[in-house]
Amino acid sequence: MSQKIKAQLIKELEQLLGSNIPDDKKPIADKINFIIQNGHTIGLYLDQEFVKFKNLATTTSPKSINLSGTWWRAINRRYDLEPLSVEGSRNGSARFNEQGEESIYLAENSTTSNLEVQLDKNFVTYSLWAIDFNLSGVLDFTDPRIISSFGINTGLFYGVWDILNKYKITSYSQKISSYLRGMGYEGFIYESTKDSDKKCVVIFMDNLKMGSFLEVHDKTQGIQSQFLRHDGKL
Amino acid sequence: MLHTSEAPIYKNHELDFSKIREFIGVPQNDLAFLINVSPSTLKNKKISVETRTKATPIVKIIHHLWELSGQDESKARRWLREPKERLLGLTPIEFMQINPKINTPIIEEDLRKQLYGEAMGA
Repeated sequence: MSQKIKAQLIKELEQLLGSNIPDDKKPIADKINFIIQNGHTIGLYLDQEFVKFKNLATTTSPKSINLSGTWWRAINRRYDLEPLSVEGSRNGSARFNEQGEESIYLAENSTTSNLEVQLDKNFVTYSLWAIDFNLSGVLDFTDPRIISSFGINTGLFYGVWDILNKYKITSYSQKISSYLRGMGYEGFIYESTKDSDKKCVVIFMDNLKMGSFLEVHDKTQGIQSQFLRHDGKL
Repeated sequence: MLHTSEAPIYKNHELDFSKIREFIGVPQNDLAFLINVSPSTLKNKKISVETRTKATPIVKIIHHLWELSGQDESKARRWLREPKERLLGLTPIEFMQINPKINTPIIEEDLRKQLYGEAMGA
């Protein structure tokens, strides 16, 4: 390799690694560049891990449970007139849904719900709603027996997902969720990643069966009646 | 809905790169790097279609920030300089600088998600 070409390559590499990035942030920039340059390989690794789960999921059939109560939802204020709106999941991904997969996330209390917000809290306005619900077919991934029966890699399940999505890589958590949605489950309970020992549930809204429902608890806020309750129809 | 005339980056209905530079708070060379043009291109009074196209992600970012910040330029500028957990601790400006061609549209998408996306599921 000629010195001229070598010098050009080094220059391009320096530019790629971000000459404007402070030294203490360089390792992070390197990680991001690693994702950019190895997206395909990362995708293959996640696929392999997902196949392990899928093989176990097809041979074992852990019992789904009923879940009911009054839990909390945070919602972008844009959709405030419909507290049970799934527009947010249609427009953006989250840990357990790819964009377009209709989902509602609830947390067992308002504090956890607030902590589970992925929006920029000082920048985006959102509101918290208490939601009464009854679900008849959810899995409980806070039960270690269920986690192990599915062979779930909890490191990946509760690990980073957003940065992968930014480079069009579907996260392990989203692959598993999509599969369970396809299996007909109404959702699953999981441990909050932001509030230890607290529970959240992701609800696959397109899978709700007859008898399952979600209902806005506080009916004094002037919400039109058709937006106060969602009943399962399957 | 975007109200293009409201974001303070235009002069006589044309993009004004000095105003864009001021809005996002970076030196001219850094803005040129983000847009992938030479610094001298930004000084041209007549903006080519190619330059306008290359500047589109940055312009969209400014419009989203303008809306989300309630038309508060300093708040918008602050957002660009605050480390974000979902960017592994980098600020949006730092994130874009790693690889402007790939990462600037990603920041635009991130802001679109802030506007319309799912609130929970962190």
